[in-house]
Amino acid sequence: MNKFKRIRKFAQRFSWMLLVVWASLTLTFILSRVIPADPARLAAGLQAGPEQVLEVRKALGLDKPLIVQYFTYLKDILRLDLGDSIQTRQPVLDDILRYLPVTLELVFLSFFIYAILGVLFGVLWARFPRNIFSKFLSFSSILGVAMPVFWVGLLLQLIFAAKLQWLPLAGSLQYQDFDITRYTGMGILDSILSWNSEALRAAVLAVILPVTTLVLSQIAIATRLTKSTLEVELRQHYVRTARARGVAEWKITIFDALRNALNPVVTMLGLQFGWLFGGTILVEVVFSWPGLGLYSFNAFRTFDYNPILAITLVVTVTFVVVNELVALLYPLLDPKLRERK
Amino acid sequence: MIRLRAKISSSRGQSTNISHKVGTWSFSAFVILLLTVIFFPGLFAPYDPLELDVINRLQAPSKAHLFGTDEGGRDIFSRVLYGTKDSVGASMVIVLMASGTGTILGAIAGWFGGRIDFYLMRMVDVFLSFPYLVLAMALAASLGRDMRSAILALILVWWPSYARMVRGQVLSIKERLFIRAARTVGASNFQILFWHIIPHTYRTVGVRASMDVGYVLISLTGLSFLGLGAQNPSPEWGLMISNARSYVLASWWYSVFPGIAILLVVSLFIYAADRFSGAER
Amino acid sequence: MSTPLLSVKNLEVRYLSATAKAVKGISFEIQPATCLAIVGESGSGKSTTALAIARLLENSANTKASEILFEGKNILNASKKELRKLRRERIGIVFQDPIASWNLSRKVGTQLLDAFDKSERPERREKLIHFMEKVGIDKAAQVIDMYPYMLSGGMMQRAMIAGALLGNPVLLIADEPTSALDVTVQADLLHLLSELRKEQGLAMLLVSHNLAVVSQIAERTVVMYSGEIVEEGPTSTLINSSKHPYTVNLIRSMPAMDQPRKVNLYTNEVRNASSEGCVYANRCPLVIPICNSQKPELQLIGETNVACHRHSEVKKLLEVSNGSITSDS
Repeated sequence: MNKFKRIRKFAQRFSWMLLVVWASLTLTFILSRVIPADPARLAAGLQAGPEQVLEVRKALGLDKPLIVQYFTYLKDILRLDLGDSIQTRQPVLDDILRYLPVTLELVFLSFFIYAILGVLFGVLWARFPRNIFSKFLSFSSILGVAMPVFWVGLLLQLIFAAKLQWLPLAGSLQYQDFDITRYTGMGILDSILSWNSEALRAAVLAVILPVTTLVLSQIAIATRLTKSTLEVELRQHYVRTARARGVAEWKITIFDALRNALNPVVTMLGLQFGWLFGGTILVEVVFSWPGLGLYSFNAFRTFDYNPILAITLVVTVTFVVVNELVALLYPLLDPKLRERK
Repeated sequence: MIRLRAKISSSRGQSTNISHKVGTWSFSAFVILLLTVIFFPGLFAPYDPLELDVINRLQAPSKAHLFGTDEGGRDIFSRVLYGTKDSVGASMVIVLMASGTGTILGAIAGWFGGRIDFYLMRMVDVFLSFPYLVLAMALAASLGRDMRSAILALILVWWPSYARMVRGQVLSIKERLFIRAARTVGASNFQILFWHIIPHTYRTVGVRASMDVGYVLISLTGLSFLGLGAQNPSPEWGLMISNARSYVLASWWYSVFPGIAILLVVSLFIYAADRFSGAER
Repeated sequence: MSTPLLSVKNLEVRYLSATAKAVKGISFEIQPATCLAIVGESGSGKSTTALAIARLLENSANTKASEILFEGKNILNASKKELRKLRRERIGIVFQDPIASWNLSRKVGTQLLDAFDKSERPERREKLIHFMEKVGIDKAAQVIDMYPYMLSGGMMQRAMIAGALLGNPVLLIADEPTSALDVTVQADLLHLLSELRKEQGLAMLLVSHNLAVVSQIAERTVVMYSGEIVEEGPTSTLINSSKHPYTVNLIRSMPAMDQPRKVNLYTNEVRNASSEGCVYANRCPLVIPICNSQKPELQLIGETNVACHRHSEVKKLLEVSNGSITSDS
């Protein structure tokens, strides 16, 4: 009985995921083929003559009815054939596989940093609300939400690269300068794998500004949410009971209150992980970081629609999968849910 | 001592009330000022925002040019003022449209229930399970790279959260006594919906909308920064910062001032929403 | 008389959010291995008093007192570390609402053993199982590894009591320990509490709105009204020959099964209170002018302390009025 329920629940979640993925496929199809007045004209580029446009139209199957196009499109995607990019003249899949790790380096690093710091700051803020540091947090957390990420990036460039000249202005690790192998595409990881300390230094220096920018843009949300949920938990009666038993205050905060407050916080962190991809596009443009963000920026600019489509798809699927994984975490955090499952 | 404390605490109670009122008034004043700048930027701006003056290009801030000049010698202070319309005005329009659409659809879903509710809410769920910024970018790119498509894209991305919020509220209002009373008197579905139910959601929607003007402004300037929104020579703030990128090493003022304008407007809207929702509690 | 275990002098509490004081300078004592009950209606400050003694009010309220002596030491001057030790080893506390008082997402045993060092835990765990069996939990060794939401309200409260006993306290503070439970469970738990008390030689501070509960367990009783003590004395004397009109009212409002319910005409009429006079003047049926102008002091009359200008007449007066008011419902 219980097992049956669990399977059914899993099937439900899975079919929901499929539905969302299908919806994003359809949406990107509509975006690229239905909304634009003449996709072939866009795809062929501004300099193309009428014959070239015609050629492109034939080659991409744009002369067929929309419904036929739709099914060919779905079929291609199922075969992982995402078409070619016009700007790089390469299969989009290859491009994505090449650029994704470069972006993930930024995304992972900043995610871990702001998740840990954000929760930590939130805990300190809720625990010592009258502290000077908490006052600083309550002020700066509004600023943190209110600052556009691309502007923060520019400011950091202005201060740390242009004025102080401590850090490189833009760009990621140049592999050819250090003679290291491209194992993963992530600069720090590759220089560690190649055991090259010079390269590692350069990789870390290159990563500092973009990661700081992303962290600054996201940390306020995590801090504010942790603080407000923890604040509610700390007012609960069970906290008083634990105090009455003589449990140390830090133990109550961490093991009782924070643990119970973690559920919404984890959900938010999952959502933010998806938003990070939106943020990285802006940050990569500011720092000329050669990842998926810069790639999609160029695709947006030239209306190179195969990459646009593929990126929307990749980001959406990642977002959905991450949030589903987060949902799987709930029962671990809340034994009551474990029971109900 | 105790008496003194009593006094302090009672005066504190009053002062929060007063400071709350002051907050509301100063926020209203700020919005009115913004609207004035949006509709009559010429009242405040010393220069034409579009007129080129190449001899004075990239001048540092001075008495003549408070915020300096850009690569075309245009006065950045005047451009920031004129840009309010394209940035803040557009964000307000987006929020107005999104919250309006969301409220009506959410109210309909909550009120009628059944199939309408099911399909509308599944659609909302699907929309909300996309990362909003990437979706907005893709939409804006495919609609064509101009201000109008950026605005449309952001409306499309923003309405679902309002629909979900309002639907929840309608569900709880629906069963209250005065709605039943209106029904017994013979009011029609639409009468009840528009005269009795939707007015009850104004407050929460208002708080949310005030906050969202801030968030939408950040997203809109982001789109413009990527070239997916306003196009040159518009003085839209995100676009100005985008143009300033090429001069970041030599002319700090070019990127800094439009950014401060964004920061100021967004933080005031978010702060106001914070205060209003706090007062409600 | 021996030295008291706990002695409270001039305790005052004001919640930061309120204008009036919740507790207005009260004093009382608890002798070792005896039970003192605090009785009163909700809002009388009885729970606040209990929490203030355990110093659990710190952030939300302003607590003042001349002294709160516990085992000869002033709790008010205790450092945080001393307080923790005190709560861990000398004072056990049981709260009113078992569901809210447990953290539902951590195991029963983990929560109860949290206060003890890692090295102590195996030993304490054995002890906890022993106490849990004692308070009537079957299969205590399993319950200890369950989550609180798997237990019934009565079971949660039993486990809570077992946890409170774990540090071998000398004082048990019980804040309405049974009010949130079913009537049958209430009786069981009360019986259990008084048994345990005798067996362990515990002193107890029992807070309750229910005189019937109190009369079963407590040696002495304090009646509180609006933050002040109006009567205090041995429980049986207090109940059988009350000298304060409020106590009389409390006793009358107790439902009794073998008697017709008495209509109580006094409690609903609330007049404006004056700050100089007696706290009960605003609802007292026997009010005379002096009650509104002069505050009656607590004074020893026979075995009980009473704060009433008309204490000598209370019995007579109320009986007279009783005759005319009592009616069959």
